Amino acid sequence: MPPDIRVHGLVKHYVVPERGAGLRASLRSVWRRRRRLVRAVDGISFEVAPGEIVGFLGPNGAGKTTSLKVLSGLLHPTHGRVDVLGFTPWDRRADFLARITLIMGQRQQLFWDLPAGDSFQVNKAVFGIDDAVFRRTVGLLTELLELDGLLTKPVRQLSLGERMKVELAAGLLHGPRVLFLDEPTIGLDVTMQQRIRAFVARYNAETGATVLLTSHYMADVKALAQRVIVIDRGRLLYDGALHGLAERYAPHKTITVHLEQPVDPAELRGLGEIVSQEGAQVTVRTRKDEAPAVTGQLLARLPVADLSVEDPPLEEVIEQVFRGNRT
Amino acid sequence: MTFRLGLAGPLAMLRAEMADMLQYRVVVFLYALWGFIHPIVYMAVWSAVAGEGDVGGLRQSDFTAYYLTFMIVSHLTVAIEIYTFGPMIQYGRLSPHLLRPMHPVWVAAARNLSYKAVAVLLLIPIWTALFLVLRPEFGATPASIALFMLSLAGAVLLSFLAGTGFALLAFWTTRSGSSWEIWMGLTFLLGGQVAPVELLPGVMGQLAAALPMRYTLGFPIEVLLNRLPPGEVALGLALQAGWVAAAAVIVALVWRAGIRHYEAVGA
Amino acid sequence: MRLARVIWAFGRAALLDETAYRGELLGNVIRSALGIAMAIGGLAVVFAHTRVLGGWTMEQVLVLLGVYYLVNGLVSTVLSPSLNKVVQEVREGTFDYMLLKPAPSLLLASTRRFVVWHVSDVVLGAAVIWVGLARLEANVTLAGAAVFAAAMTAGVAIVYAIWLALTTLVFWFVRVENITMIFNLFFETGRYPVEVYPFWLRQLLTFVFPVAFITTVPAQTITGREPLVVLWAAPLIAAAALLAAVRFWRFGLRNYTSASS
Repeated sequence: MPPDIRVHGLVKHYVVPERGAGLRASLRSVWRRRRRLVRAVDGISFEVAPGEIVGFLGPNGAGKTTSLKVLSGLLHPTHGRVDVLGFTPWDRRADFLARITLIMGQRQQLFWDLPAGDSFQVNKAVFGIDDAVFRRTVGLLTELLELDGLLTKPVRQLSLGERMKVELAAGLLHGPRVLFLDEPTIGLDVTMQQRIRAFVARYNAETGATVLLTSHYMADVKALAQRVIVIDRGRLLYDGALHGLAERYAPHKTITVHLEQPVDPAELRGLGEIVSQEGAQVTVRTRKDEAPAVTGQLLARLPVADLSVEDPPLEEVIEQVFRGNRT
Repeated sequence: MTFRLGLAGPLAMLRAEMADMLQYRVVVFLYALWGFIHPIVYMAVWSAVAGEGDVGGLRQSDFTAYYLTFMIVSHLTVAIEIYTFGPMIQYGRLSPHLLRPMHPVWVAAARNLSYKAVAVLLLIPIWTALFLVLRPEFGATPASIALFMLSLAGAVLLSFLAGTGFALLAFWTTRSGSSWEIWMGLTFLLGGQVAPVELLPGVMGQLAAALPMRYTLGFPIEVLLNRLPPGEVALGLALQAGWVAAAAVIVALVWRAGIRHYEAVGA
Repeated sequence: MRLARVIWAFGRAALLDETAYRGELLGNVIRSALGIAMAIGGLAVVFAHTRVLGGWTMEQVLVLLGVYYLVNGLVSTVLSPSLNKVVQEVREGTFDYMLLKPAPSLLLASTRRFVVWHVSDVVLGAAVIWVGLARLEANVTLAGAAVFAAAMTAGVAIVYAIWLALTTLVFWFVRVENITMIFNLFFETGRYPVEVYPFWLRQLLTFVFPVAFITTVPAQTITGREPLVVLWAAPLIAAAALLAAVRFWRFGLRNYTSASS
C-alpha cells in the first residue's frame, strides 16, 4: 500500500514584522517596520503509512503547527513536495477536503451561540453526507465520545472538555481518512485527556484512519503513537519507534531492585548513582553502556528479590534530544 | 480550489446563520434602527427646504416617499462584510472554512442575508407606522415596481460585492475600515442619501450617474418613484449590470490574491 | 496628583496600544477630514437649493456642524472607548478588577482609555467653527466667547450624563452589548439645527433626549441668534442630568456589587 502522507524537503519561511517594547519603539514602528525571516520549517521529509498513528513532537515554535497547516492545505510551502492521499493539499480540492480533517485545540468551527447539532447539520450539507451515513456517524461518535445531551446545548454553555469533544465530532462527521490533530487535549483535565486519547485510539482501530498528532502531553503520545517524529527549529531530529528514542538519546537507565531485606548503604558503593534507598527498595541510575555490568553486580552482591531496568521518563528523553540539538 | 456544486451547503449555512442572528436580535435591531435615522434627518431637512413649494420639482410629499423608500432600500443593500467577513480573515477564523468544500464567500452571504431578514421582521412595524402617519404618495406604476425589483436586486448584489471586496483587504492590512469609510462617505454624498441624485448640482450629478454608489442605493428608489425617463432607466440598468460584473471580477481577483497571501503567511 | 498619574498611565498604555497599528495616525486624520468634507458637501447640496434652513444660514449651520464634530471627537477620544470598555468588562465579568483599584471607580471608568487619533475630530471641528465664524464675519466678543464656552461645557456635560446613564444600564442588561449606540442614534440628528425637525421630533430632541442643548444651543450663542431662555436653561439641565446620571451609576454599581458577591 502506498503511504497516505508523503513529505519531501518541506520548507516554510515567513517574514514577520518586529517591534520592540515601549513607547519609542512603537512610535518608530509607525514609520518604519523591521522585518525578520522565520524559518518555521526548514527541510523535513517523512512518510506515514495508512492506519498509522504518528506523534509529532517538538517544543513551542518548532514548526509542528506550521507543518500540519501545510499538510492540511492551509499553507503553501516555500519549497518541497507534499502528497496526501494522492492530492497536493494546498489545491484544496473538494475530494481532498472530504478525506481529511484538521482539528486544532482552540480553533472554533462551531457556532458559538447555537447547539452543536446545528453546526453538524451545516457540515452535513457542506460535505454532502447522506442521511443514513450521517445518522450512523453521529450515533457512533455520540457513543464513543459520550456526547449525549451535549448536542442540544448552545456551545458557549459547554465546558472546555465538552467543547473539545464536540469539536472533534464535528471534524469527523464526514469520515475523514487522515486526521491532523493539533494539541487535541490542551487545557483539559486528566480524565478528559484520557477519554479523548481512548477515543482517538478506538477511532483509529475501527476506521483504520491515519493520524498525525501533536501534543504537549507525553502521555498522549505514549498512549497513542508507536512512532514519533521529533522536530526542533524546523528540522527533523528523529523519526522512528517511540522506544527507540530512549535507546538513542537517553544516556542512562534506571535500575530498581527489591531486596529480600534492607542492606547497609555502604554495600551499594560502586554501583552507580543511588537515586533513592527506601527500606528494601533501591533505585540506581547508571550510564546506559554500563547497565548490563551494574545489573550483574547487583545480582551477584545483593539478595535481590526483583529487578527492573527502565528508560528514564519520556519527557526527560525529549528534553535530552532538544538540549543535544541546541549545543 | 474546487467546490461541490449545489446549494445544499449554502442553504444549511443560511439556516444556521439565521438561528444565530436571532440570538442577537436586540443588537441587530439597534443596528438596523441606525439605518432609519439618516433618512428621517434628510426627510426633515428637505421638507423644511421645500416648505409649501418645491425643490427642483420635488414637493414635500415626494421627499417623504423618497426617504421612506430609502429606508427599505438602504436596509436591504447595507453591506456588513467589513464587520463580519473582515474580522474572520484578520483573526484567522477563515481556516476552518477553507477546509470545507464550500466557498467561504457563502458564509459572508449567509450572514448578510440573515442579518437583513432578522432585522426586517422588526423594522416592518416601525415602517408601517411611519407610512400610516406620513401617508406618502409614491406615484409608482406596475412597470416601475417591476423595474424597481430588478434594480433592487442589482443594488443588493452590487453592495454585497463592494462590502466583500473591502472586507478582503483584511488579508493585507489590520484595519480595512478606513477605505470602507471613504466608500461610505461617497455613498452618502453621491449615492442618493444626502439628496436624491437629481438634486445634486453640476459635476456632482454627473459623477453620481457614472460612479457605482448610486447603483447600490439611490437608483432603485428613483426607478420606483418614476423620477426617470425610460431612456435613463435603461441606461441606469445597463450601468448597474456593468458595475456588478466589474465588481464580481475584482472581488474574484482580490480573493485569489488574498488567499495566496494567506497561504504564504498563515494566520 | 496620584490620580493624574493613574490617568496618565492608562493613557500611555492606550497610546502604545494604538501605535501598534501602522498608518492609523494618518488614516484617522484623513478619515476625519473626509467625514467633515462629506458633511460640508452635504450642506452645499442642501444650500444649493435654499438660502435659509429652519431660519439658519449656511455659515451658521457650518458653525453648528463644527460643534457637532468637536463634541463627537471628545466622545470618540475618551468617552466611548472608556465606557464601552466598562460594558465589555461587565459582560465578561472582569469589571471587578476595576473596582479593586484604589481610585474612584467612576472617574477611572470614564477616563482610563483614550483613542488618541480621534483628537483629529476635535481639532477639525474647532477649525470648522472658526471657518464658519470667519465667513459670518461675526464679531465675537470676550463675553460672547465665554457664553459659548459655557454652553459647550453644558452640552458636553449632557453628553457625558447620557453616556453614563446608558452605560449604567449594562449592570442589569448584560446581554445588550451596543447599548451606547442609542446615543449615536439620537446624536446623528444634531448635525442640523433642531428647528429643522417637525414639531414632535423637536420636542423629543429638546426635552427627552436633549440633543438640542449639545449642538443647536452652543451654535446659537456664538452665531448671534437669540435664545435667551434656552441659554439659561442649558446649565440647569446639564447639572440636573449630570446629577441624575451619577446617582444612577452609583445605584447600578450597588446593585452590581451586591448581586455578584
